[in-house]
Amino acid sequence: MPVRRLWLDYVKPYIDEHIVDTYGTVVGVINPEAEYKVVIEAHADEISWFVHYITSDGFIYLRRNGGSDHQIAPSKRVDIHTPKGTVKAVFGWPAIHTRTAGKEARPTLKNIFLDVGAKDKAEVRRWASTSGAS
Amino acid sequence: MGIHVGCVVTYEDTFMLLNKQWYVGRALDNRAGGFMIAEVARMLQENKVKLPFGLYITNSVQEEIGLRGAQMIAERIQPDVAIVTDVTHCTHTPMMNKIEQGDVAAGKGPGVTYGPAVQNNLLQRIIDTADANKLPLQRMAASRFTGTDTDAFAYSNQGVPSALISLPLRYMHTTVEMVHKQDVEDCIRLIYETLQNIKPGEDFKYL
Repeated sequence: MPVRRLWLDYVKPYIDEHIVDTYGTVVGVINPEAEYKVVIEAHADEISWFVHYITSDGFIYLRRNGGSDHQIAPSKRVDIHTPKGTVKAVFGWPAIHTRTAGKEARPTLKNIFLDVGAKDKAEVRRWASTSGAS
Repeated sequence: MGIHVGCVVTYEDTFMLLNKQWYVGRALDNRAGGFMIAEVARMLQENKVKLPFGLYITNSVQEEIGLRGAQMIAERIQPDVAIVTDVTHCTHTPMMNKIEQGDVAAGKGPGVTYGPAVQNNLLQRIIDTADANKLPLQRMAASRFTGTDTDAFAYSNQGVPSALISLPLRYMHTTVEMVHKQDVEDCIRLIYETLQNIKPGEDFKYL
C-alpha cells in the first residue's frame, strides 16, 4: 500500500478534512475554517533508484532518486515497481575470490547493477509496453 | 517481467525493533516524522484539545530531491507558522566526526537547529516549551541551509515563521536506519505541547 494512503487512513479519525495535491502531498486539516494556520510537517518520500539502462544480457543500471547510497548497494535485495506489480531483483557483486587484493573496485553508480534473473533484455522488458520504447 | 526504463527501485528491508528501544528500518528518514505528526493529531483528539487555529498536518512528497513537495504545498496552505520535523545525524557512532558534523546523540532528545531559515522567536517558543515540560533538547547549527523542508516553508509566501525539530538517526540513507524510541516519544510530546503554546494572530516578529 502506498505510504501516503496508509498515512491518510491512520490520521483520518483525528482530522476534519484532507487535501491531496497534484504531486501527492497529503494534508490532514483540523479546524479548516480558521483564518490563522499552523503547519506541522514531515516528508513522506524515501530515497530510491530509477531503472536507467538495461544491457543486452539483461542487467540493469540505475540512476539515483534522491541521495541513494552506492556504497551499501551490493548484495541487497530490491523491489522493482512496474505497472504490472513488484518484481524482485538483487544488487550483484563479483565474488571476493575473483577480486585482486589491494586493487578492489569500490561500489559506485558506474559499477553497481541489478540482476533480475533474466536471460536477456527482451525477457526483462517482456510485457513492459507494446510500443517498442526502451 | 514488465520492467522498463524509469521504473522505481526500492530496498525490500522492513521494520524491526532492536534491544527493545531502537526502531530499525529503511526510510525511517522520514517515515518516523510522518508517524510523529500523525501521533500529534491522535493525541489532540484523544485528550480533547481544542486548538484555537487551523492545524495542517502535512506529509509532503519530493523532499529528497530538493524540498519540492513542501514548496508546492506551502503556497497552497499559506500558513502563518510552520513546524517541520525531520531526521538528523547521530554523531556518536564510529567514523563520525563531531568537529565537522556537530555533537548529537540518539537517545538524548529532540534536536533544534539555529540557522537563517529558522525564525528565532518561534524557536525560543519551542525551547521554552521543552524546558517547561522537562523534555531533553540538543542544539545544532546550520550555516546556510537546514537541508530540510524548513527551508521551503521559511522562504515561501514572503516568509513564514518556521522551525525545525529533529529526530537523531543513525546510518542515514542505509537500510538499517536507527532511531531511539524515547526520542520519537519526546519529539511527539514537544510538537504537541508547542502547539498549545501558540496563539492565533501571533506573527513572531523581531521588532
